[in-house]
Amino acid sequence: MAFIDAVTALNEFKRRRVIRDYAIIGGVAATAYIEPMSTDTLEVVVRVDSDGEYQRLLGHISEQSESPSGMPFVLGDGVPVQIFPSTLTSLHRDAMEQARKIRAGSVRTKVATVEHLLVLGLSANRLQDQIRIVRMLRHTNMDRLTELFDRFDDEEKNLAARLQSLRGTGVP
Amino acid sequence: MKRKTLPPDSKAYVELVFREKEKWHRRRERMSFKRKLEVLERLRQDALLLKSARFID
Repeated sequence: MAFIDAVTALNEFKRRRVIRDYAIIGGVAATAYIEPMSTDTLEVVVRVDSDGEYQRLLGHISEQSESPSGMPFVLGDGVPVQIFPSTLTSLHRDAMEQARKIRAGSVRTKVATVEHLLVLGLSANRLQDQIRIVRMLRHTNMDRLTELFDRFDDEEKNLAARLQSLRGTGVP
Repeated sequence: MKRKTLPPDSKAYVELVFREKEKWHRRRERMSFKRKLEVLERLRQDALLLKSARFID
C-alpha cells in the first residue's frame, strides 16, 4: 500500500539518522482528522537547523529514490513525497515541534495538529485547502487556533480574514 | 398496516437521506488512520487511471 510504504520509507530514513525527525502535513495529515479526500502527494516537514543540513538530507534521499530535478521524491511504490525544511517558516517549525504521534497499523508516524494544518491551509489557500479547512473546523480547538493566529498571522490579519470568509460560504 | 403515500410537499425522504449521508460521513471520519490511507491510495490510483485515459483519448 503506497502511502504506508512511503511513510515506512521515511521511518527508515529516520532510523538511519538521515532524517532527524519529520511530521506529515497537507492532505494526508488532514486525513487523520477528517474523512479521506483525494490527494496524490505526501507532504512532510523535516527537522533541520540550516539550509546546508537540508541540502545534505535531500542528497541522501535522492540517492535512494526516483526524482526528476526539482520534483518531489518518489517513495513507497510511486508516491510523490514533497519534503519541506522546518526552517522554511516559523509556522513549519512549530508544526514540526507540536506534531502528535499516530499509528497506521504497526507503522508509527507524526502528523501536524489540526490547528497547524488549518493555518498552513489558509496560507496556501487553494480550493482543496479551503474544502479541507471547512471540514477540519469541527475538530479544531478555537483557543489553540487563536493562539496560532496571534503568533503567525500577518499584520493585516489576512489568515483570520480568510477563515472568516470561508465560514458561512457554500464550500462543502 | 396500510402504507400511506407521502404528501407531495413532504421533506421526510430528503431528511432521511440527509441524516443517512451525515452518518456515512461520520463513519468515514472515525475510520482508523491505516484504513484512511488505504482509501487515499485507491483514490490516487483512480486519479492516475483517469489521467492516463485522458492521455489515450
